[in-house]
Amino acid sequence: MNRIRLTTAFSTSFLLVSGLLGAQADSPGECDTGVKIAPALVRPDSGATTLGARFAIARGSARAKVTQSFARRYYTCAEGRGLATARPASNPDDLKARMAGGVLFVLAKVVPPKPEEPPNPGGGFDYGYLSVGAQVLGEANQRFTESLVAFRGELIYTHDQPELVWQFVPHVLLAYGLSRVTASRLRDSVGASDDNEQLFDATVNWGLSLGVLGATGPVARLTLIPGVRHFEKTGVDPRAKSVDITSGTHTSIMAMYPTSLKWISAVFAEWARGPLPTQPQRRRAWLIGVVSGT
Amino acid sequence: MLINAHAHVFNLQTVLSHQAVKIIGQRVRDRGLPEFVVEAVERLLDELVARPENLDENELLARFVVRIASTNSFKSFVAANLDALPVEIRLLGDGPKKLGTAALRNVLDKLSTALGTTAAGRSSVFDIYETLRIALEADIVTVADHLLGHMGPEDGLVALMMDITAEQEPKRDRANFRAQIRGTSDAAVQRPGRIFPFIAVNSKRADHFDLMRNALEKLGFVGVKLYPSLGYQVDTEPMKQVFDYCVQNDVPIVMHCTRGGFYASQQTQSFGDPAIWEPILKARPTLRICFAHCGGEEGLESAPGTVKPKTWTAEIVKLMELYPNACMDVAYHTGMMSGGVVETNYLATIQALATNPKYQNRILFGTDAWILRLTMADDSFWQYFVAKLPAPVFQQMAGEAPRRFLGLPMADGTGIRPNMQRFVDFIASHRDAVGAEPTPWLRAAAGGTFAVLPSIPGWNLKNHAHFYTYSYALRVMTPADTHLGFPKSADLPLRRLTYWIGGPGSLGFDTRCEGNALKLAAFCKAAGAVYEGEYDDDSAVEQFANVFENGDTTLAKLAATVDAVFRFASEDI
Repeated sequence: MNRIRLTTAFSTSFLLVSGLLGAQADSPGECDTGVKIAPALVRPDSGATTLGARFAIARGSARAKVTQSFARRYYTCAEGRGLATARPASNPDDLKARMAGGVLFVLAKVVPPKPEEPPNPGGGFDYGYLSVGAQVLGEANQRFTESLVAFRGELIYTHDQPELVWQFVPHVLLAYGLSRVTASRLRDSVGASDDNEQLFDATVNWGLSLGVLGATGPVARLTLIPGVRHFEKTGVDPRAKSVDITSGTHTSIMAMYPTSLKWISAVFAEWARGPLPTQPQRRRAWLIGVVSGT
Repeated sequence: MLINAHAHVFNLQTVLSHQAVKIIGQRVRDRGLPEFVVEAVERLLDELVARPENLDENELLARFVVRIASTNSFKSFVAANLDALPVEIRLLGDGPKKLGTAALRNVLDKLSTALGTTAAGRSSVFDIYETLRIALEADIVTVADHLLGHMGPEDGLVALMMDITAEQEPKRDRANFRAQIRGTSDAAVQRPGRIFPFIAVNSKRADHFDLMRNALEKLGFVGVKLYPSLGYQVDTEPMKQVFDYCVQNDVPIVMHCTRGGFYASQQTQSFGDPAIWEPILKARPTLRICFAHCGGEEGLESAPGTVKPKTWTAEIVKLMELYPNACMDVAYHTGMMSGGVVETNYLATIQALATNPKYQNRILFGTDAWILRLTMADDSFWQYFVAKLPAPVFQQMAGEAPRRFLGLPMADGTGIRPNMQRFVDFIASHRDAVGAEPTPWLRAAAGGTFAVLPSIPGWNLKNHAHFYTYSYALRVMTPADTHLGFPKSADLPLRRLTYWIGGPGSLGFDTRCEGNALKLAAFCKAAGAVYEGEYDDDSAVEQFANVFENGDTTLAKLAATVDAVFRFASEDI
């Protein structure tokens, strides 16, 4: 599938990107086999505006076990992704390569209706999905002046039930692992070591569909997605703390509205604030964008 | 009311088996196409035998071009004709490329031109693609609509089934054939009064008689289609039982009668010889039978107004002289369209037959669509005959002659034959939910009122793949969308379902897509469905996950994918 998220960002200290490819998440879990490229115009808060492209090259395989209760799928995945720009110095993002494996459990039992009944969702229970996996990750900026390797385990819990109560149950990503800096001019500049560090990363968000919350008419299609991400680095050389950040909380809220236009499937607006593990500056940003895809 | 007395509305999915692919490949080869096209068609269809898929136009186009480009014979062709070929085709010879639809169509156009196969009666690569495009529609009603689209609102067609029985693949064969019967019967209900189904009888199928009787008595079929060159003889006891039934129940037969078309082997090509019918008709002189294709158009082209002696055509004319219910049709006669003396002779002979009081109203107009598309479009065939024949002659061939053959009532409502009365009763038994306004003749014959529930091709609660897909979707549908109900949910894009929240890149999105793929597969299996072809848990979940990841996909398209991957108990009749 080709899907391109076109974003225009208005930011106090962020960037303006006209082409993003699944940029928000750290692509946990399975990967979508194939090659995807999304051209981008990049204007960082420092440095010159440049052309670039988001890319994702992935190969995955999976084995499924389909049963009425607790169906599951085992996956392995190799993937390279990131943002490459004509001026590497202007690239605010990074390049990633990972190998991952895990298993996805469906926490449900499905009981279909009888064919003589009117169509109905049937019975059983449904508590969502649990994905447990591990990955080896290499991450670097485009000039490879900052890079690391990490080994981490991750757990994702998510769900999609339409009942009201489920709107308030968060979607969760928990990740914990070891990372080791393999190159860092920043750390070199303060004489910090590249000993192993640990990173704990937790993200929770909610998908609030106004239709499920009881709204009717066109507004029912509006979705609000508030989210919080918290990370903690431990084992960091104290000398590195002057140029890096060891913990932080990032909050965001996005409103998304689907359209029936041919080339624009949704529009969205997002507000976010707070640091990220790879973006130590505390920043606030507004993003307004459209989602286009085939 | 005009009637195309020889048409096909089955889709290829309902005949596909490895044996059918070989027979179809031979047909393409006989159309004069180079080996790489034959190979591409066979590979593409073989893949669909193994893993049925619902391909849209773009996917089919891309796959067809890629299959052509990846054959060794195409690479050899490019290497041998490097200087003469357009650059697009030379580049294609380097290996399959990812191209857009417009570019792919351009490549096919250029390839058709380069191969120089535009003469009348021959097929181009583009013709093959267009044929596949129609034939691989997801459901039979859509194929029928394709043919009805250029006809008048009251015009109809005879829908001849095809039974390329695959004895080595009994499970698939049984499911396919039943799907074809069910789909053809449903098409008659969806387009009431415009589609006249003929059940295919193939005596290689052990229960052919029971299937025929069930279709004629309970499923709205009005006649029987025979295709002996697919590998069975007609002068056998089992077939004589069929003919006796047809006489007793006033059922017409359409009999494939040309050496061309589909055939199992060189030997079986002659199984359609009309001479074989002399003793059969002698014992059953009232049998209504149409010898399709007139035995081959060459019998009409040798002299103006005269049938060529010692041809199958001459043999049919002899039978028509002896038996008042024997007819012939002009389906797939395209060779004369190149003009010249052949055309002059053909048109003069057809007119002579049609206006001869002995044969009047027994020369039927038929096109052989969609199979005709191997050579030309259906409406072009119609236009040719409308333009070349005097209006009264064409009116007789497409109006009165098929009316009589089929047993339709006359304008005053009288004269309806028993087979057509059963058809009327069958449609009337579905009067609470027909797919379109019944034609005036049917409304008059059936009486009462009909409730029209505008049908959406590929979206029908009677199809269990659709029933269970919709039922599953209700598990992840917002309350606002559940109020749409089944009919309006066909076009509901998957991004409106609750698993989509946040879309690609959002936390857990991939997990929800994969999870829904697993749950949908489990839902169908729990409903008793089994995998089609070589599908298994892995490939089925992969297929569904790909669909769930595309928010533009509609619920109807998801249902078509479920239908391709799973076979439900309801597919047995």
